[in-house]
Amino acid sequence: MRYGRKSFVDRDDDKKYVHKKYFRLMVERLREISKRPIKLMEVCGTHTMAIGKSGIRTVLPAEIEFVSGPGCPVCVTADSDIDAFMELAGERRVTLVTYGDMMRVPGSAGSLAELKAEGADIRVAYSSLEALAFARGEPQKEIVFLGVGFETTAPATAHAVKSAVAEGLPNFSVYNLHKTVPLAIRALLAGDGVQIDGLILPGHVSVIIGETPYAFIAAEFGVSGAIAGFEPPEIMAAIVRLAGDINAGKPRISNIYTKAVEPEGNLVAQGMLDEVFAPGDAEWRGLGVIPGSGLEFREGFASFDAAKRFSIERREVRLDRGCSCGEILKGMIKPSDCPLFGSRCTPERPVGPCMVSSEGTCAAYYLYNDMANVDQPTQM
Amino acid sequence: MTETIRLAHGSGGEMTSRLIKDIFYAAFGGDARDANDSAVLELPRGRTAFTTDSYVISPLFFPGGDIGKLAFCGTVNDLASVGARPIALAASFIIEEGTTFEDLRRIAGSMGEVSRETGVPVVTGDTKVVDKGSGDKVFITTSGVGSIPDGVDYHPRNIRPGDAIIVTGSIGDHGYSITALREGIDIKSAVTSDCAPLHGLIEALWPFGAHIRAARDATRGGVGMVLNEWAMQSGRGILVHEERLPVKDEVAGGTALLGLEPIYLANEGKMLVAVSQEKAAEVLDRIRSHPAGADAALIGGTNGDKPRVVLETAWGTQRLVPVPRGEILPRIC
Repeated sequence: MRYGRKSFVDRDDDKKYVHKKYFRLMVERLREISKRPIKLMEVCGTHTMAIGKSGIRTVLPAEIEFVSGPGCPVCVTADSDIDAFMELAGERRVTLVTYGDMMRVPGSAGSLAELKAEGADIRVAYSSLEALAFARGEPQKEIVFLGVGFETTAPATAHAVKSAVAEGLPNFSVYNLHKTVPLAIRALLAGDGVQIDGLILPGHVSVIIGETPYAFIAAEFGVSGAIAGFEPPEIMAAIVRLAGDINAGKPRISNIYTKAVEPEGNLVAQGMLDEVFAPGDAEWRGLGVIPGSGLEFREGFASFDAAKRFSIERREVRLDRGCSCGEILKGMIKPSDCPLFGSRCTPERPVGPCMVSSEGTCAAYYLYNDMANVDQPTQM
Repeated sequence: MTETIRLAHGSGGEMTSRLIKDIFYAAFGGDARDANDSAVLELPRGRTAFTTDSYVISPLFFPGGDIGKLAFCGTVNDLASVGARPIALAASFIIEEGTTFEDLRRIAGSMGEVSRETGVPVVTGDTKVVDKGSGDKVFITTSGVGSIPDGVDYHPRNIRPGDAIIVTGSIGDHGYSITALREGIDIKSAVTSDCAPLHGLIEALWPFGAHIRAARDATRGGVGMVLNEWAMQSGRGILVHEERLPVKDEVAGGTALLGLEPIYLANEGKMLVAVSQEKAAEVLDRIRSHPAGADAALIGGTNGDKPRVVLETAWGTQRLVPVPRGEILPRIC
């Protein structure tokens, strides 16, 4: 039996030693090239959690500061949309099928979890295909899949809808809240928010969309970007690349996740998205309405749009919870700057979506960020 | 003899007596003719430990054990955690109507077997039967009494700066094997529950006296939960080294796949032991020489006075090990 956890799920001790040595070399390199304070933003929530769990911040030079971005689909779901799907699940008696994270997000009238406890038929699924299976197996029920997520999950929703068309399934539809990432990044950089020097670009989204949609980041805004994986050495490699580019004054987009991301992305998935969806306007918590950043059903698939099927009216709602989720999503402040953080808002009793989501910035900070003034370990 | 338990078996009449005789007396020994409403024990002078726990694990039978063995070992281990020698156990069963005699016999049999192996008798118990739907096959509650010798005081408040922490073997085996079973993963899985009684291992540490500060079995919430409890109860920080945590290959790979962390998975045959720096190496050797502690490792120790648990990762970075949140696996013990 071996001691220690395996990263990279490989069995070769030598390889693991090489990875660890490589990691240490990168830490040293970073200390060499870091000359001035720089601000990096990790766009996606999975990266926020991965960075927290990796403990990487404890070995970074002090000049490198991290802020978190709006890459958490649950966190950026607007209050108006929450209320709309709550109405769908509550009053309209449909069977709502959703990813687990959405269950606890609070709207004006509570959360899906509370509705479920009151008897509404709300089910948690890992994928849209499960929702499809419910529709097939329960023809007497109207199954509505809550389509939340970016380019990573949207293809699966597209696939489910296409299957429903092919099978002539009458009782399946999607409440569509899918959004795309590049335009949100543009809105961030063009806005008068925080000054960002470099971006850690999402891993999974990039698997789908490839490298080219990010070109504008360097070309138009002079900001560097690096597509990164999720293991500590992969994240570290992206940070080293960004620090190098920024300190050299040479902005560019790099792909450090080449084992999963092709330059052109996944063409099949892109084709599927293009077939089923067209760009539309979408409201992002914190960023407001970003034209073209939503994925709307094309006309041929309109009958699968749950909003149309059930005539759900989307009303303008903006809840004042007292939480600073919106500013946190733009990287303008850190979770610890929110007056509710850790006191009135905790993972057990969340006030805003950023604390609810397993990829939420506030949740990640709450779990992993108390690392200031780490003491020296006792000698063993 | 009916094949399944029916409500009448719990009504206190003739069918109950037969059930108790044919299943429980058969498994635990003893004579129904000597029975009284309470067992009467003569306890040694000094401190007596007393503990209770309920077991609702699903499924009832799993690689490495069943709910019966679990119920027995779990309570024995809770006694061992405070340094007590187990003296006797009580076992109560709540049985759902429709449960088979075969299953109940197997469960009682497992308990009887480990009772004989350890020499710790089940001296009293109870049986109730509930309607179908009012329970889930079998729930067991065991209580135990034990005796703590002078000079032995295991409690997290004893943990002081410089102390070391030892884990008695590989972590996450029980939690992982149950998850693998539930998720239908890998029929060829070599990892079974580590369900085992640990009082013998702890008694081997009695001679170290106050050098042993605390002991605790790492059940629900795993090693991560115990370390956090110790940090909070002792007011000390704790640092553990990821590379020193004993994790079986399959558990490491399988948990990575499932998005679980071995440090938070339940163990049913592993203890954490806090020991003085001075005696750490010797205690480790002593534990390793016991069959239940062959893979023991020194994983870390106290670290500062902020009550929290820090992990030094395999990459040389540090991160918090927070108290595990809601998603702990349901009905794991």
